[in-house]
Amino acid sequence: MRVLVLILTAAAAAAWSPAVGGLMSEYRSAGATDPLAARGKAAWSKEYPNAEGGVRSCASCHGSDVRQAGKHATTGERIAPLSPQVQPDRLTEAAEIEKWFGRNCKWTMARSCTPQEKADFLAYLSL
Amino acid sequence: MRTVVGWVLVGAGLVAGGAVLAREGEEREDVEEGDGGATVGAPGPMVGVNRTPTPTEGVATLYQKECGSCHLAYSPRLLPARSWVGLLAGLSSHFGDNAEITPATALALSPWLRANAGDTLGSRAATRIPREETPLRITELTWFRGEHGEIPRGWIGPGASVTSLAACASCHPGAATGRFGEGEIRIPGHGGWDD
Repeated sequence: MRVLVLILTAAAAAAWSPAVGGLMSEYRSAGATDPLAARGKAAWSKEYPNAEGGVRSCASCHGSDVRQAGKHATTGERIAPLSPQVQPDRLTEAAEIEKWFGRNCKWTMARSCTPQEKADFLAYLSL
Repeated sequence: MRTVVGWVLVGAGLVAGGAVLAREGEEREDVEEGDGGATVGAPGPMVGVNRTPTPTEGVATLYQKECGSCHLAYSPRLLPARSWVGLLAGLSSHFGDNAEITPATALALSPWLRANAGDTLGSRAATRIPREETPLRITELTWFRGEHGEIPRGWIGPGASVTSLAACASCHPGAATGRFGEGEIRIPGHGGWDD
């Protein structure tokens, strides 16, 4: 099973953009283990409390299908799909990826994402 | 910053900002002069009060990218310079959202926003805001409320075709370039506006 996971991870790694590949190396240096898309997918829908007594998750703005467009939860502005398979300019700039992790992890979870969480998210989004 | 690359980016941002301002001054014949007492950057005529610099390159494009993903990149002339300073300082808690930017980005955006702010450009609406106030919400400005006060109840709000007054481009097709002329207004479901 572990061998299968490693093979699948290697296959997925071949599909990563250079930006994602570079970040994955950084996350590994910071202590992350093999990225797992399934973990990223589960974390995508995980709900956290918001100040108004409701909940929020990544899906609140981006939707649960990252191949579809999302909609900003406050402004209603359309958010282009996150999947590079559908929106080719996604996940192509490391600084942009890190910027949005910074903003959105803090908004959603009231803390920064760990390197492992970021790696898992990128593995999921890159599918 | 620890890296040379970081400083090069900051320098490039400042140079690009200055270049955008200088070029805007050279190309336009109809700029209105007067800087409201705040002088930033290169000398010469300021950008015309009636439009936002088109995002051809440089800081204007950076502003569109950093501040235009979740909502319209509001024309800097809609607020006084001190309000833009206040907004930049509070981006981690930006009307309930987190809109943080890097220090390098802030360093590039701040002079451009201040140089193109309403009071810097001599806009009457902006200079009328009492000096002791630093409003952050465009839709709560006195002049804004005055301009939008006659819109019938129910036309704008949750459930209506225009969800919020903050979504300027819903009715103002030129909002992205700072054009809000009455003749161009088209309210979804209701047509033009004639005062």
